Amino acid sequence: MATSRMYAEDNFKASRQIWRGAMRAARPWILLLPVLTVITVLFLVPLLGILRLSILGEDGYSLASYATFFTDSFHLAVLGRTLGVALIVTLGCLILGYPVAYVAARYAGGLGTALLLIVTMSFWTSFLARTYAWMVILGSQGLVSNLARALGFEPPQILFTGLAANIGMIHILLPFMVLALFAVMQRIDRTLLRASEGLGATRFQTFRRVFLPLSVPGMINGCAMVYIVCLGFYVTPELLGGPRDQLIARQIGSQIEQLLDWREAATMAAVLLAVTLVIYAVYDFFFGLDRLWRS
Amino acid sequence: MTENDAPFLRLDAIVKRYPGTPAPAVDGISVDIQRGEFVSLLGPSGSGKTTTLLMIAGFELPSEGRILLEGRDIVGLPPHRRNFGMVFQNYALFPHMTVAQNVAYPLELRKIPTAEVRATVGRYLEMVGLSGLAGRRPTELSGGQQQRVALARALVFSPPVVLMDEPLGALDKNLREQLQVEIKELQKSLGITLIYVTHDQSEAMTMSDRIAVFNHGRIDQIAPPDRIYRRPATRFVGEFVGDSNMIEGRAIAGEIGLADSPLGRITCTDGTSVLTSGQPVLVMIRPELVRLSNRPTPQNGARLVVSRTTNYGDRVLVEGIGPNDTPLRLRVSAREAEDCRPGSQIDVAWDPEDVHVLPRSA
Repeated sequence: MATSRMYAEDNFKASRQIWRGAMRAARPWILLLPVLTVITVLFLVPLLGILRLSILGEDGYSLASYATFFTDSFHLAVLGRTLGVALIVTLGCLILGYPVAYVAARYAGGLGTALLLIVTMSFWTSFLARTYAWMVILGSQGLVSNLARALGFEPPQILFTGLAANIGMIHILLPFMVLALFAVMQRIDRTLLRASEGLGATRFQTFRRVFLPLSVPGMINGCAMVYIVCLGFYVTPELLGGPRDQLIARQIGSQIEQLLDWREAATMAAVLLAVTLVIYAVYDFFFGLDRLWRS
Repeated sequence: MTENDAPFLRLDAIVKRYPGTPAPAVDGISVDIQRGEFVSLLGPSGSGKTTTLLMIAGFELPSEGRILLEGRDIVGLPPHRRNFGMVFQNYALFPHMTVAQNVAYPLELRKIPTAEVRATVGRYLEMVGLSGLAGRRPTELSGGQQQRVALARALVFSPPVVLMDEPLGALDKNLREQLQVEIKELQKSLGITLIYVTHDQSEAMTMSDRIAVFNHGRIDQIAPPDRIYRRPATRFVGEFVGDSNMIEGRAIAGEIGLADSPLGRITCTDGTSVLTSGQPVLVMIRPELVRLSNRPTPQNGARLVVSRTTNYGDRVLVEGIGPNDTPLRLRVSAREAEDCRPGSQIDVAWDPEDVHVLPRSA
């Protein structure tokens, strides 16, 4: 009698424990439910719709539109240009952003804080506003051209060229790079730099052999972020660049707006997405996705 | 004084002031260090010992004073040109380099040929017992192993002076004691001049040729460990290093080596120069030098009421109250402690040779 009651109690305890364990395991998913719902309904489902659109021909499913894309030299040129421009913009951000992040990390407080504040302020300013600002600065009656004229020579066309588009994109994406670099640089242990100098390294040797290698994760994070964002950039190159400097995002837009070719647009979007995912995968394989967010 | 008579490393009236702080962090320190000497800078945190080390290393500039290496002022030299080895508390190993690359780093900076670098690194890794771990990353090593790498890295380029800033502070007790022995042996066998910052007095006692005891930016005393322990120059030194009874007394005028205290008359064989004029004195007796006595002693002893006992395993600390409410501590063996239950009366005594006298002002 007593034994059976003990068993019953044990059973009860065990089932309660299982239930509790299940609740515990489910808890994070309950917390994620709202955002998962939003992402599924507003992002994943439409995305699948676009992918479906790209393979939906007049007579059933086919990959014909992809064949068209990859045999069309114009489309391939746009894709290549997009990849190239993203590379230039990324390198530009790295070259300009590294010294800023370096100074901000090395001189925390005062100068460093002021620099970060400036960077964040430009980060908070609407990129549309910043794009228009560049139109004013680079225009034929703008600051740059007038300055050139004051110095006595006729300025070349800057606005509505690839150069203007690149300048604008570098400016807009620079804060991403600076913040990614800063996050890593700030955590570099100062005693390592001290140890290096104590062991006989000059300031420059210390930078090159200790600080620079330790800041590489920041460079990779920053470059991956800027490059991927740059691939899909639409407004800034459209407003600042010329008609011959169109990037793939703009191309997708004109497929829809001017040619009403939804299928081709969906195909290009799918290609762009695939390229982005490939870059993401390479990055993840080598450097671990979590590092991008941990810092 | 000729160059040859000059001490190897001399700190000459060093002062360090930081803007915005009223008292200087280092307040006029002068030390002469001989070649091959092991000198510990001992003191509580904020006493200026680490600041002093950083000034020797060149990471901080003294506000006043000179630092002379073989008679040459090195204050103006940046750290990388001082050629000193340095070991930090948090090891400061380069995480992106292997163990061997870390140790090779100072040699490569000195443009030593690759073959020689490899051989030297191998020799030093063997010396610290890490030969098998040359290819590992620092993060794959234990704390003790990491500090051994840091040690090899600081020694590998045969620096004239090696500076260590609490190098064992992050390690547990057993490992710390083991590395104390190893560091001391390396220092002796390589003939290194070593300046060692620590707040751990037993570490300073076991390793050093001389200890400089820091107190509020000044050196209260610099002397060999046994002298620091047995004949502290100030009350601070006596209390910071080891456990002590400090009894306020008064020298008896006209008597040599005799002081009046709340515990009765105390004979002193040491420090008699302060014991002539009837001035106030401080009498120090180490608790382990106070012993139980089976009869009352009129002089150099006292009757106590035990207030508390604390067992440390090897010894038992007995705290008692003597005449005139004067507290006294003694350390006895566990067997002796059986007679020392709280509330019981005990008679204690000490030898006049073990009594140390300080002027009360110090």
